Amino acid sequence: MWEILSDNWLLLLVGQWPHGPVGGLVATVGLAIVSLLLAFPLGIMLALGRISAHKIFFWPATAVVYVVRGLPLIMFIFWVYFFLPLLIGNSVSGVVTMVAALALYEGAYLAEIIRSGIEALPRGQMEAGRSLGLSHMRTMRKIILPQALYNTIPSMLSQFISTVKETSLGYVISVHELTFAAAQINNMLLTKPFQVFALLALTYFTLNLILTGVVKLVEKHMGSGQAVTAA
Amino acid sequence: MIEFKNVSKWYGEYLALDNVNARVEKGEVLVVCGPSGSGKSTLIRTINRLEPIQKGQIIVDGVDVYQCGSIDEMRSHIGFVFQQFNLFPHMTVLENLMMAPVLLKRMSKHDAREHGMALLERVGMGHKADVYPTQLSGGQQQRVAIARALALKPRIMLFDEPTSALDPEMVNEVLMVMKSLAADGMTMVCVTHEMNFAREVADTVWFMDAGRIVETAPPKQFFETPQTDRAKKFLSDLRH
Amino acid sequence: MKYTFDFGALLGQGYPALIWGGLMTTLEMTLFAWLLAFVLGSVLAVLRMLNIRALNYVIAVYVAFHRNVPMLVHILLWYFGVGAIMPLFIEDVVNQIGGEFVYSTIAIGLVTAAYVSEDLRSAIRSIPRGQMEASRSLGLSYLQSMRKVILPQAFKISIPPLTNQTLLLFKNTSLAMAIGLIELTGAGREIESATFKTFEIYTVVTVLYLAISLLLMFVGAYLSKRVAYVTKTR
Repeated sequence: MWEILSDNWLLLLVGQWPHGPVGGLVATVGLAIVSLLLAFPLGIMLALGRISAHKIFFWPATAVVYVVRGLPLIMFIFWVYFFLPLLIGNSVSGVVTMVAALALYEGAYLAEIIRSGIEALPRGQMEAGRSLGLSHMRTMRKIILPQALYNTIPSMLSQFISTVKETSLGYVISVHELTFAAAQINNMLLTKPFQVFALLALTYFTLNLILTGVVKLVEKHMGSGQAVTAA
Repeated sequence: MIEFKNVSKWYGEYLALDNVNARVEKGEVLVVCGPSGSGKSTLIRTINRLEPIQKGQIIVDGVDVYQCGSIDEMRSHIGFVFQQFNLFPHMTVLENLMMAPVLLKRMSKHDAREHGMALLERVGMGHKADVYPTQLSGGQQQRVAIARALALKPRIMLFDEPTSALDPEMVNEVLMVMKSLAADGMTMVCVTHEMNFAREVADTVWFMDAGRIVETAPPKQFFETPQTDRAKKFLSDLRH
Repeated sequence: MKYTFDFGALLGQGYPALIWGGLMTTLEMTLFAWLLAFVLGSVLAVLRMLNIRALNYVIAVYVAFHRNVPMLVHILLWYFGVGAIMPLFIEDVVNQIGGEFVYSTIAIGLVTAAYVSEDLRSAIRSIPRGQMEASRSLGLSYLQSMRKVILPQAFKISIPPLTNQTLLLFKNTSLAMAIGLIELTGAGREIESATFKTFEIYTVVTVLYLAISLLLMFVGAYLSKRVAYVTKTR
């Protein structure tokens, strides 16, 4: 297994770049970051829709969240793969499909995290803002959201780790990320599938273990004393 | 019946019980009181080994609690009533009472049920036998907890601040049960702040402070003529 | 948008049978993987309560490995990796049932077991110490206390997270299509490439997934309500 690593580490790291698109581990992390950055504003909008008193915002937001939570991600990706070109009018690469799908998918999950962060704040915060004469939107923007978003940073970082794992589905639509790179190596070597995929697993394991460590550090730094007891 | 011989206990560096030597006789009703942090709860919890001791011996009914073969067997002969009741929420009141006798093979299910119902009647909770603990008030739960502890026919009953978690209007219903137990000759050790109970029912009062039993006296003598300064301060603080 | 909707095209050529077969495969996978996950997860959770250092370490590594590596990679590892190094007599048995089915079910079951054990563990830890103390004070042994007092309460508390895990497990079965198993998503793709009626077939598959997901969510909520009791005393 060590030989496989030393022979192919470049492919696993950056895919076929510079003789092809950026792939491998770099692409995996890059996909995750971009998708989550796009998912973030989406998540906020959906969260606000979910807590809205206006039916016109509540029902679409709720529908989106429930549909996304009820569908397997792979099916969702296929939908985006089919729909996006129709929407844009042009054919769309696997990478763009992946980013769009992940952004929407993660947006729905982030929405629930942000929503529970908002609902965990004492009602007095909104009441204080309104009694100062701030509009509902203003209070949301200046008082509620900053606190809710700060409080849910650990949860959102955990979602980042989930997103990194979800990028592996790019393999199915030929996106050049880490799993795809490993599959390419397997196709070249053909006689050592266990070693190749074990190496792949260990790579994700190491990456996510490090990321989990970072999340724990952030939690410690934030002094999160929020004890959530099991319901 | 219960004997403390040179008992000391530490929590890490902190000395919780300091060389305690004392006796409780059969049929005696003992009240242990003192300021918070005095070690009174710790003391009572060492009797059935809920808390371990590092030095000394505790002898219950002739058996060294820390050297006995089966602590479970030992505990089934000692009844313990907790400040927080600790009833099992996933069982009905009657099931709470029946579980231990049946599981420990002391009684058949039928006998356990009869015995349980009799105990519930005795504490005034017969009509709530099939109800779940969370549907009861604090005072009702504590009475059930006392009945549960009695189900195994213990020789000693230990009470760890049984009324401290109750709203004032429910304290009396629990004290009444405890009084009737005392009148029947049960050996009882009660950690409590209820001084009227001590006055009416107790045979002896132990006043504890900083891990030691500072004063031992019959209640009348303790309340009217406390000997030590710390006891005097404690009693005067209580009155205000 | 040039697209003519034609759901009727899905009715021909044995396509309904294909969808039905895919659905059944999905449900079978869900069932077997769930059994594996639940049994193994419970065993791991209870083993951790024994507080044996070495054992805890091994279980912690198991949980970390299965949680940090993507589900798809686990499936690939089992199907391509383990499948290749299996002794022949096991391989024969596996191939009779279908290698894709067996290995993906095992992979999904093992990963979910890791999450189940963590959920059960935190449920057990959330039960107040007084419950164990009360039970031990009555003279029950540690094991008896676990069996009669702690675990029953822990299972009730863990119904919501376990419902969530079941839902995730159900959705994860779709990943098996990556190794060629014709479960529901795989069947959908087959029909898509045969008929080009992408929207129609995707809609059917989506409706099926959503229906079952919602059903699972409702069952979970119902179970949770039925066994619920307020644990805080008044």
